[in-house]
Amino acid sequence: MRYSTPSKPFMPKHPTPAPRIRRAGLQGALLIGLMALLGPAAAAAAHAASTDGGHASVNAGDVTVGILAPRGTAHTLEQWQATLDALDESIPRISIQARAMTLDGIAAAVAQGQVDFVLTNPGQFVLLGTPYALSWLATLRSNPANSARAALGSVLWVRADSSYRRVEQLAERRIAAVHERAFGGYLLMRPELQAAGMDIDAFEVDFVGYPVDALIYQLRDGQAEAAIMPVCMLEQMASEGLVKRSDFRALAVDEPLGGCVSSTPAYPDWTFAALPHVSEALTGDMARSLLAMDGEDTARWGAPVSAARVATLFDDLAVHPLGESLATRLMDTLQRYWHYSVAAAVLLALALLYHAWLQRKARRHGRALEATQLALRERERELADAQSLNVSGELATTLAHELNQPLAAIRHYAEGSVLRLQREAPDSPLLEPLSRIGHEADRGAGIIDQARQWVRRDAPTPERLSLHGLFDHVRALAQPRLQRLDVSLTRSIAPDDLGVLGNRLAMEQVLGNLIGNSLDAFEAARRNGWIQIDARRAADPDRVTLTVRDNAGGFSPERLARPFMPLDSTRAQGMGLGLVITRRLLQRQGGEITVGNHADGGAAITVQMPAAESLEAAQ
Amino acid sequence: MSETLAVHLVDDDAGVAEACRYLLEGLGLAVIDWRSGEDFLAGVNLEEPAAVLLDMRLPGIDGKAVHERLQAADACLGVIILTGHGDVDMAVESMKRGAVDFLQKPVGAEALDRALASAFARARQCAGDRRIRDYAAALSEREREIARRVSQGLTNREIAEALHIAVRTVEVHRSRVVEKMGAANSAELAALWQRIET
Repeated sequence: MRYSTPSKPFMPKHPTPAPRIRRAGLQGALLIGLMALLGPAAAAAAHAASTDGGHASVNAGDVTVGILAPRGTAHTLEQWQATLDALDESIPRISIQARAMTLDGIAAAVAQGQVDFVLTNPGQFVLLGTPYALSWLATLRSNPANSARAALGSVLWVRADSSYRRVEQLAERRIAAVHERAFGGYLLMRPELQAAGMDIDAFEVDFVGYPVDALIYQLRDGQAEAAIMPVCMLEQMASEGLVKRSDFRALAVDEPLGGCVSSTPAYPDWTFAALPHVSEALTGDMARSLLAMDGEDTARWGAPVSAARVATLFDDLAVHPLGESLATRLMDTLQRYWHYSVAAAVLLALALLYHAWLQRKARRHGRALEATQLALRERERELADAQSLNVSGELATTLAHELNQPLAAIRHYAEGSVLRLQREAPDSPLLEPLSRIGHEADRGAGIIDQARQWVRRDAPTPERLSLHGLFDHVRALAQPRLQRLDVSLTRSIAPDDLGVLGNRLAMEQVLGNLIGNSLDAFEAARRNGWIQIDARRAADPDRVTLTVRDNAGGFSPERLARPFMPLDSTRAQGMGLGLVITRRLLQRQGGEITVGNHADGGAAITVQMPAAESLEAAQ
Repeated sequence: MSETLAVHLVDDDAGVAEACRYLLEGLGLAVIDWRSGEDFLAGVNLEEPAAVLLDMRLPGIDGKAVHERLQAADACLGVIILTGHGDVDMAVESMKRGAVDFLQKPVGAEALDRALASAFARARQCAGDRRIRDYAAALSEREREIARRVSQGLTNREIAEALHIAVRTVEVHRSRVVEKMGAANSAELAALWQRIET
């Protein structure tokens, strides 16, 4: 559906819109945000304030009646003048001011308490009645022949000479209507359009605004192919000589209503209602005066009728009265209770300042964190380098050993053959090549040994290392994996300042490998659990015993039989050098390692290292 | 004492062990080979002097541990350590534990022959010492007194005076001691006794 402004030539004397809500700019937007955050509680509180103590009770003096003006201000005031005069007369203590309003105008005026009474269609009552606690005084009986319960309806008019016979033929055609919320208009017609078995979006409905008269002119002049009007409107305009009744034809004709054509079922007539700030006495007098009117010059009134059918219609249309007008009511509330608004704004400003302060603090912490992270990563890289150097060293050692074996065999065979030939055939020409084979095998072994020496690292320089410090560091490195695998890492170090004598990088590697080993086991077993590290002074006071236990299931008997055999890993990946390197690193620092399982289903690896005090003693 | 001693070859690598056996047999030696430290310790006759070619790197208990157990058992075995990679610290440690030699693979026939000669010599000496001690243990208290004084170079008369016994008695004991100790004469007895007394 498209929304457009009405065409100018057909807007004679556009009614003065009721005071519109001041567009409250940025501050207002912020407040709306705040109110939205505070939610229903705030709305309810604001509402309670508006009903209980917002205004002094109106009982006498100037009384304002807001009247829905479908056909413009002048027409409306003229139509209702006699009725209002009669009221003025019957209740001398008041002086009635009439204000012709649009649907939106009435909604805003009610929300802001700018009117004392309203006279509008039942659709709007359903929308406004509950949220603003309106009192229903009387229902209009426009036509004595009709019940007050069946007075309103909509008509879908087309030009009499057009070819439209059925509603669905209007698909993609321009249909003029007053307002999306006009009760005796689009709202009632919408179910009929839907009943044509078509998607409501298939109809190109233009909402051109009040007055309703403009619609019929647009239709007559071919600017629209159809117009949605309240019942009797066209008939009335025809009787006023404004248009010719025979120029128009109604579609989807339903039961006639008060002698007029209708395209929809009938709904209750307009209702006169009081706002909650009007005194009970005045409300009562007003109701009595309305019901007492004879209907000669004035309108004729009856007891208020139920608008339940209207509510049902709204339900069918999926229009929630409360939800629909929430934004509007929120704005009204904000405007009426500006002092709360200002307080809220101040609060919000303070909150914003606090937020900014927090953010600055967070940024500063963030930078510090980043620096730490960077340092951590740097350390991690160093460790990885050391590890890879150790891996290549260990690999070279392993290769050297593995290759040495066949080379040894070659040399043995060659020399064994030489020895035999020297005894049995000392002139054999094979003696020379055989001894060369032995020499070449020896040369090959020499090259391997050189390569191994080359990657071998110098023994690390020992220093005092606090165990807490080491663990803090290793823990930080292992944290992501610990978290991912849901494994807890606890430590118990006694005494607290216990330290070992060794190389920092090597010890970090040792601890990192041991924890990594446990984590590998957890990962392979697909389970979570714990790793406990315990550090104590050994029976020999110059040594420290460190135990790493986990509950990941422990080593298999095969693995336990030869835990330090390289290239023999229970892991799917990895080269199985972890424990070998760990042992090598420990041995270089004068440490030892024992691998085993504990009774509770997990690995227990014990490491012994020189205690830090022995360094002091040595110096 | 010139009979050939056996060589125990302890290496888990069958290929190397076979080759080594071929080489050792080329040198005219008898080879008994073992695939693990456990097998070797369980099967070796510790009473019999022999040479051992012991690889450091073994599955289960490693070469170092095997060596320690042999030391503890006081076996008369000349142990030669074999290793894939020469490591000075490891060599020094092995020698301290009483290894005859420390060789890096692949070992040449010449170096092996030389090391084995030392190992045999060590084993023979150890076995000899043990025999002498066994003989000495079989002597009576009086015979031991006399053997000690003979090794100190005292004459029969001096011994008789010191022990307040007849010279003839000393002569009888002395000849029996020489015989019991497997010595050819009094001079050899003196040499043997000095070897075990120190």
